Amino acid sequence: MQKTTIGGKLGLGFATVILLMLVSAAIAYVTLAGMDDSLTAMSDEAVPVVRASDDLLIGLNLASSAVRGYLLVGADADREADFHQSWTRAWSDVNAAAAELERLFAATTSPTDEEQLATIRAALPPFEAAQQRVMAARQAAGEGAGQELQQAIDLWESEAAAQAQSIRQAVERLRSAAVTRMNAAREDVERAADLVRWTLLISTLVAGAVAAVIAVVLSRGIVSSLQVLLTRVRSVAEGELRGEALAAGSSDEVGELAKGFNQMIVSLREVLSQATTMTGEVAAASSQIATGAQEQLSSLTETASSLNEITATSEQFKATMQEFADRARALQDAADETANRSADGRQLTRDSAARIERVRTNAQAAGESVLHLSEQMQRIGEITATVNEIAEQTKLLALNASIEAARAGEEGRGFAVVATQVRELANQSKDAVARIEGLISDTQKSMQDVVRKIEEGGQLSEDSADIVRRLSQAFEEIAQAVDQSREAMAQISTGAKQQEQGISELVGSISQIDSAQKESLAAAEQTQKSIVAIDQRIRSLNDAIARFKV
Amino acid sequence: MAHFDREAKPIDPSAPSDAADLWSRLRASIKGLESIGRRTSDPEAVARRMAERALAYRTKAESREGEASRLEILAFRKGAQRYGVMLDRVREVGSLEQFHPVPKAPPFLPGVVPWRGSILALLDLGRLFGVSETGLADVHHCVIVEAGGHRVAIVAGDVEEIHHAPADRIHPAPELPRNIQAEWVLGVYDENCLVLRIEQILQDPALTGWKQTKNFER
Repeated sequence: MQKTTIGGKLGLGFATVILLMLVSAAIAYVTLAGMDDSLTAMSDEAVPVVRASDDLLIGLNLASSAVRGYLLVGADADREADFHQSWTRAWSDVNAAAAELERLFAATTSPTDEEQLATIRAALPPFEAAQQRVMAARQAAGEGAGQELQQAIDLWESEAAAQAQSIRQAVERLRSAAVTRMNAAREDVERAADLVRWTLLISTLVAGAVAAVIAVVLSRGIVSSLQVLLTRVRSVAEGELRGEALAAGSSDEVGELAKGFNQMIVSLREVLSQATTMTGEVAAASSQIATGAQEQLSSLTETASSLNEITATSEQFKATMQEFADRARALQDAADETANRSADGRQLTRDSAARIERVRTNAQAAGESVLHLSEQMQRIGEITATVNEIAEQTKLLALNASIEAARAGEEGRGFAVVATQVRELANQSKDAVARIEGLISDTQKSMQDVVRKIEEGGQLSEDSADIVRRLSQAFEEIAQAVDQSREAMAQISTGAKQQEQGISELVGSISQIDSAQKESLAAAEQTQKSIVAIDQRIRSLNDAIARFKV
Repeated sequence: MAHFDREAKPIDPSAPSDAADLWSRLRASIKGLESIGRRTSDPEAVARRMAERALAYRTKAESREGEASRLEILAFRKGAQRYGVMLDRVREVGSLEQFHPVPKAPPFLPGVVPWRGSILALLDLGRLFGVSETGLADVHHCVIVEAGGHRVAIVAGDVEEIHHAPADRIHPAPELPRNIQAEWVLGVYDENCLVLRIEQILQDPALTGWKQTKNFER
């Protein structure tokens, strides 16, 4: 075959068929045009004539009936009027039909028709007049059957009937002539219709035959190729992409289609292999994403627990800070109290220092008194020494007196007694002196004790003064330290408050982070779900791809 | 302030009352001293005391009646040793205020003292008996004794008393060390008082030999 497309082949076939159709349509048109003329003649001439003839005859019959009714009714005025009115109407119809007939036959050339028209024209007025007379006679007769009425009826029967008969005949003739013409026209139409019918039948058959031939010819070239293609398409649809390429047998669209199909399979193979590769990559990526999402989820969960811990710890810390601030305040109060006490203490140490100074002065005075006492004791000692000396001398004198008395013999006995008494006195004096000396010695010891005590007291008061000085200094230092610690406590209190506030803000921030965290967690879970869905889709995609055998 | 008052009372609360008691007692005692002067200067009190004492001595003197057989011994002390001499050998006791050392004299004759216009040898019994090696720092007295025409001043620390001792209370001297001549000692009285035979001591050649060369005789 040459490079003739299917469109070309179809066009050739359809052109043949259309030509045949046009021929038959032309024949039918011509025939129908003739049939139209016949029908026009029939409807314009024959049918109106028949209708007018019928109207005329009906009007005549109505008029006759009205007259008869009028006659029969009698003196009833209302019914007389009715019948009269009907009669008038019937006559107007009759006249209108007659005028129509006149108009229809105005151009006629047929002598019979002229004759009949003349007859009708001549007979109508006398007939009307006859009826008028009858009715007049009836009126004149009045009620009941009178002579006049009978005359009128007779008249009617004699005169009017004959006239009516002639009119009727003329009209019938006119009508039958029209009917005859109509029948002739109908036969023409029927013939034309037969012609058209046959023409159409034949042309249809011929066109069908031509179309059948074209179809057979085309199907033998196209459908077989398409059949092969269809088989391959079905196998491809079932996933079989292997096999040899289709042979481009023809140069028409089917051949092109086969080429395109081959290309399509090649492209499909490429696409499928790429798709396999890419789904593998996507699956790997999605599994990585899934791992990442899992890790993110776990890390988010950890973060959430950490946040919870941070929140709890912060709350505890906040509570601790509040307590800390309270304690700092309490410490501040305690520091105030301490400051007051240390001020009191300083005052007390000043008082003590003054008193200790007085004690020292008193000790000095006491020392001076003891010095005075010691001098006096020394003087007493001197006097006692003198007394002792005197007593010693006295004793020696008494001894010598005793010796002299002994030498004097019996005369000296009384003297010896006196000497002995003097000696005794001297001994007593010596004893007294010894006692006084012992007392002085005791007194000296006591005074030494007193002096030592006073000295000790003075030293103690010096020490006390020193201690009080140091105490005062210590109180000063305490006051300074308390001031510092009070300041520090105030700072600590302020700091604790600020810290508490900061922790509140921190807790707020953490709760914000927590909500964000929850959102992130939800998003991560969503991500995981999506990844699972993606994974499922990839798997189903893989399944779908696996159906294709490349 | 209240706290400090409460805490500043570690001292024993009984101390002030003790101290107050002490001060009051001290004041009372010093007040009592005033009466001393009155007691010694009151003539009535002195007279009464003297009368009491005289009465006591009267009784004592009466009790000595009829005791002529007793020995009268003057006891004195030199160093740690007590000595006794018969009262009839004693001429005088006196204070040893000053003495003059004699060159080349034996150690028991530390020097000479003037007595009633004459010079007497000073005898140290401790050195003589070889009992005491102490010097003369603690001697304040001397006892002048006379026997057989010889007089000598015996150094004494303290002259004690004249004892009226019954003869049987003087126990014979026990065996003495060689350097104490047995004939110098009459006996021991009152446990540790060596009663000396002055006449024997003064006639001893150790003293007399020295004396002859020096010729202390009047």
